[in-house]
Amino acid sequence: MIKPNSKRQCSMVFCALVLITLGVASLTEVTLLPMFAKHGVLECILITLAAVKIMLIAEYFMELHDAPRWLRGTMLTWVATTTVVLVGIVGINSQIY
Amino acid sequence: MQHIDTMNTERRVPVEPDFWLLIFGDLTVFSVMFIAFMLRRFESAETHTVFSMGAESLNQPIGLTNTLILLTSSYAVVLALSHYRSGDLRRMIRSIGIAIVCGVGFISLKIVEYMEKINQGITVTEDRFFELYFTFTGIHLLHVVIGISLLTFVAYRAFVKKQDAFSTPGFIEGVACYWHMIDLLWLMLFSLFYLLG
Amino acid sequence: MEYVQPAVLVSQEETTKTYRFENAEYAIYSTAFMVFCTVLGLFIVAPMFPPLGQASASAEMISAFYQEGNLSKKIGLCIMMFGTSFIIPLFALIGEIIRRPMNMPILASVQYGSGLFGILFTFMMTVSWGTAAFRPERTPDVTQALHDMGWLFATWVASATLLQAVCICIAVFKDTRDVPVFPRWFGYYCAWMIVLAFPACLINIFHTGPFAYDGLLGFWLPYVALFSWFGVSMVCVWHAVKKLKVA
Repeated sequence: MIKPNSKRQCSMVFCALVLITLGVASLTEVTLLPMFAKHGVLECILITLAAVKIMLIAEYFMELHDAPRWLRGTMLTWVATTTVVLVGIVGINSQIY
Repeated sequence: MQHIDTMNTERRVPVEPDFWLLIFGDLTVFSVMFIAFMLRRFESAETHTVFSMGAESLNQPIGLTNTLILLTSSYAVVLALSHYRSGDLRRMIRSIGIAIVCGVGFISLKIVEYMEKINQGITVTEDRFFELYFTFTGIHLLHVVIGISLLTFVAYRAFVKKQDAFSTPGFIEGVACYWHMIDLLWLMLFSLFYLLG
Repeated sequence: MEYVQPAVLVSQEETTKTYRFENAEYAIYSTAFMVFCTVLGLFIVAPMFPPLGQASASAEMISAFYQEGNLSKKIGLCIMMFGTSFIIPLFALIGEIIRRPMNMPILASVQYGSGLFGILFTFMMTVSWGTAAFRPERTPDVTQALHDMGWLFATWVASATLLQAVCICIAVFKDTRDVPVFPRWFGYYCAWMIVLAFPACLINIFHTGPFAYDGLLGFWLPYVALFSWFGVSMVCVWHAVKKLKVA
């Protein structure tokens, strides 16, 4: 019999996701750090936070936290690769513009 | 919480191993799309400005609301799966109902957003940014429609208590995972289109 | 007499059961021949694939594309025209597997019918390009129109292939016996193809960008999915036939 997934854990993850989303949205409103935006640091932070949220959903909602290692590894590889490529593109090009 | 984790010492693959071919296939397609978006954004100084202006002109509150709506519906699906495993079909159907209502809300807000842009005379061929905006969010919207149909199907099957290949725990878990994948992709789309301005 | 009859019936039943898939490998060889003809004709002899930048090219450029190497384009399209129909045995074989051992006759018919429909539009694609290559010295606008029409026949008509993939997908998932005929990842692969085929329905709107018929979602992903589907389905059907011949 499959164990029922831990509701408390999922509720905590849900709260974390909502908080990160609201935090990210307010981060773009604040023009406190204009030099951040100029060098693409803000963009890198946004992409990384999205990747963190994706990892949270994958681990706890899709129940990968008790999956075998190959599956978790593939998921982590996908998230990491996409994030690194996106951040890399921002990093290389934000020097020019 | 401790005893639940120690209870389940054996590692299990959610749904079944073959299912992840679909999920990773879809994720790969979307990550290629994200990278194509990023490359196009930095193609020249002109496209960079076009993309910044496009992101500015999008309706940020609706985007944020949509993100929260999808997160809520994902959470409702998690609860539904939990109720299903403890054998409480009525509460499972209620949770899936909440998820479906959230999904429909997402679609209606998206349509409001599209109509707003179309009324301003901005359509899919307006510029490089809106070309990608309409098509990528459109493909995502298609996923949402497929997801809602699958959720409705699952809820209906649980309601009439019909037993066949589409009412197994594996199928229901698979639909739940598919719905989480839709949520997960929207998080990245939201960051790329609305926040990077 | 009464005792002989059932014995004959039983042996007949056994005969049909055992020999129904006796020479079924030839369907797979035939598919391999089709893939060979497509690759030789469309990729090598007449380089119609991939269409780099053609969706946004001017009429003169398309016309020049047909004028240079006109004969090799005609020969390549001939090879393609000859080879296309050799995929039909595979569709028939998949249909027969879904109809008899998996016992889903309606899905089998829809699968076969929509497969044939997809083939029909592949022929029309070849005919459009063949017409464009037939008189390359004519007004460039007409050549461009025929070339575009060929691409719309090729990619835009995704719904037939899509319906076929839906049928195979449902058939694989409904097969819940202990030893299923098709592996379940074949069903998931078809589901992934369905998701990929949808963007191809948008190629009539765009001249540039990922959704144009030379773009990422209008060309690369659907055709990578399609050609890998040929390989995947050949492998899955091969194993299914081997399993059914033993049973």
